[in-house]
Amino acid sequence: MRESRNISLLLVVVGGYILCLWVTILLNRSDRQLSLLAIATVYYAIVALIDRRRSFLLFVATTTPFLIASLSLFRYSHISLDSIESVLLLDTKATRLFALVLLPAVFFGTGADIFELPSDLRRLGMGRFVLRVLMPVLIKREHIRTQFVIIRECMESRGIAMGTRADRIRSVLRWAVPLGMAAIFEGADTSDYNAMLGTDITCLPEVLLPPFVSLRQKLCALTLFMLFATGGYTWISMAL
Amino acid sequence: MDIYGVVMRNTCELWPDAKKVTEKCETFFGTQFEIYQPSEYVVGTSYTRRVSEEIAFVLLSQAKAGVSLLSQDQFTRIWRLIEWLDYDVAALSGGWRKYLGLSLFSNQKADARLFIDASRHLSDTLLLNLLRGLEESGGESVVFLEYDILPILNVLPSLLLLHEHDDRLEIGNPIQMDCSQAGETNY
Repeated sequence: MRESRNISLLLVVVGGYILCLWVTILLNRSDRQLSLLAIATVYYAIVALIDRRRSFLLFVATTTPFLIASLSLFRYSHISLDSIESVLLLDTKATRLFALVLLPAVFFGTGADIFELPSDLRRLGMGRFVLRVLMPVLIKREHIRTQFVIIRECMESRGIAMGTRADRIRSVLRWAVPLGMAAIFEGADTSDYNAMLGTDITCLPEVLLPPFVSLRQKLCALTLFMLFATGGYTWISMAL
Repeated sequence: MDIYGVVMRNTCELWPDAKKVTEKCETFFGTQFEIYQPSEYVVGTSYTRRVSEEIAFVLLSQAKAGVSLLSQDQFTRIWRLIEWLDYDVAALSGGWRKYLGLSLFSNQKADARLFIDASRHLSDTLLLNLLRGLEESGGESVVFLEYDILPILNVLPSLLLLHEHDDRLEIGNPIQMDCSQAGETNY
């Protein structure tokens, strides 16, 4: 069985936060920019090893210039390094930043395997409450993915090319509306269906088979990581 | 167990809900029904990926509520799903998806079950499997409300027919199967 993708992601998130703490400490030394770059590079390399995804490698390649640019900003702008430290430490602002930006960006934007989540939560000793709260929210992404596949098959069977990304972008006006409709109604209908079958979310079985991560999910990951990398830095600057 | 099919006067009443005819059924049988109604856009419970996980999830839930009839092994054997356990639910054809939902619904203990628009999209083989599975599931009566009752009659000639009137249902004579009229009995 392949190792759990969700656990890997958790390592990435926790590792990122530890990195931030280390940066806070090292910022007090003389060679700040080099220390920061060195740590970031090592961290990215480790994450790339953990994650083993092309999308992450692409992420590293595209965000490194932003990282360097951000470091330059630190040097020449009015931003105080002391205030960075206060954000990185767990005061209210940092907690908010962590909860609102980093976690959702990492979790929603990468190839987290939602179907494997119940097993992972049990491995981590988390119980039914988390399942009840998290699963209905996270599963929505899978709903939309499934509906998109169905719509794509319908369109392809009617002669509308949807095979490549370019085809999908070209035909976005054709599939976006039915996908929106399906996303809205599917949630309510699935809820009725589950009630009819008498399902209870706490009874989700352990997944024993390896997860599947689609290219679309990886692209989504890349996009959100990019948004986080660009918007996140700006937000931190503004917040400070 | 008796299996009934209702010959409806106006099948448009089946959508969006079949409240009127359901009430007539409940009055006729003098009991409350467990009602199956297909939903649009629904692929499955959506919490699981594979058929085996879907079955395990629903059966565990039903067992927890004390309404499950069969164990997982019995269920897959009786409902003839063994070959499909490793399939992704989302990858099943519409008919198979519906059959899976019907089988999971039928695993709940109930004296009487009412199936609304259950046979549409099912092949003759799946219909036959459904009727066999229902026989194994027990209960006193099963009623089908269909847009077209003929496919069920084709695989189950002994189907008991109920004819719908303004205010009631009535046991009727077997309908004349005239396949020259597009084979549809309810239109």
